[in-house]
Amino acid sequence: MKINYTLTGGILILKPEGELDHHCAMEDLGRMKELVDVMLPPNVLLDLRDMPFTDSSGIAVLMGLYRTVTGFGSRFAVANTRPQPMKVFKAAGLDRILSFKEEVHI
Amino acid sequence: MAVKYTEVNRFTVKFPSKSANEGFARAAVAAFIAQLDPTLDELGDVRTAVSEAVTNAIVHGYKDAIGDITMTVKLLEPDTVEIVVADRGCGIPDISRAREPLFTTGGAERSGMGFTIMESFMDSLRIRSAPGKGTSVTMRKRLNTRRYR
Ligand SMILES: Nc1ncnc2c1ncn2[C@@H]1O[C@H](COP(=O)(O)OP(=O)(O)OP(=O)(O)O)[C@@H](O)[C@H]1O
Ligand SMILES: [Mg+2]
Repeated sequence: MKINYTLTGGILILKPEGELDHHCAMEDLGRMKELVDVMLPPNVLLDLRDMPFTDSSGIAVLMGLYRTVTGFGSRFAVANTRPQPMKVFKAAGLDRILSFKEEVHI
Repeated sequence: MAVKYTEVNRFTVKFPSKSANEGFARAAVAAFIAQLDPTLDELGDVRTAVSEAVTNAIVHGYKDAIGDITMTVKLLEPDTVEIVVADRGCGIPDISRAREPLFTTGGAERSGMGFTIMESFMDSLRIRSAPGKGTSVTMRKRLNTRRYR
């Protein structure tokens, strides 16, 4: 996957692009954690508008990123999740743990 | 009354357990079942289930090695897709335990949700496995094909 990102007004927006699966999951998680680690933003928004697909590998990626971000005392939210990834995340109950936002325009 | 299924079409592929083939397996199934004109949601469900089964063979079946994975996809009448993913890897010692949500032997990289997702995204899931011999996962889903909508 390609990890696009922007840092504006204390919000780091991470925008992974492409399909997420076991093949790329740990590398992508590592790259996103590194960006958080380097920039230490007070807020991290994972914008999933460009991620049309994930399998269960994405569950560990979201949880891993969430733990890293909140471990730094920062806030974490997920935005613009498309239907197939949302169905996978809901199956794992992530909608009860993480903050999913809709229609975030940046 | 039990539905009687007849085979209309099928294909089989065999590929090594390299993670680059996860995307290939999803794409191959999606291209083949286009014949049944599935909805986007159905396509998403089937692609997800295939990704889970193939990833399991790669990550668990052939944990420290590369081995062959065989995937057979059948189109059955009435309007059903059947997918069989088989490996000759380490096998599963306790299948009902493995099917439980959150059960994993994969550590922090895995969440123990693969079988639960296959089960809920497809209509049926059958697992056959023997330690040291391998695992085969058979899934079926009836598609609400556009002809009848
Ligand atoms: N093909 C296989 N060969 C050997 N063991 C398997 C196989 N498939 C599944 N298992 C065993 O069953 C367990 C549960 O599988 P499941 O797909 O539900 O979860 P997971 O793969 O551990 O995590 P996730 O799928 O959420 O990434 C695995 O942790 C593994 O122990
Ligand atoms: Mg799995």
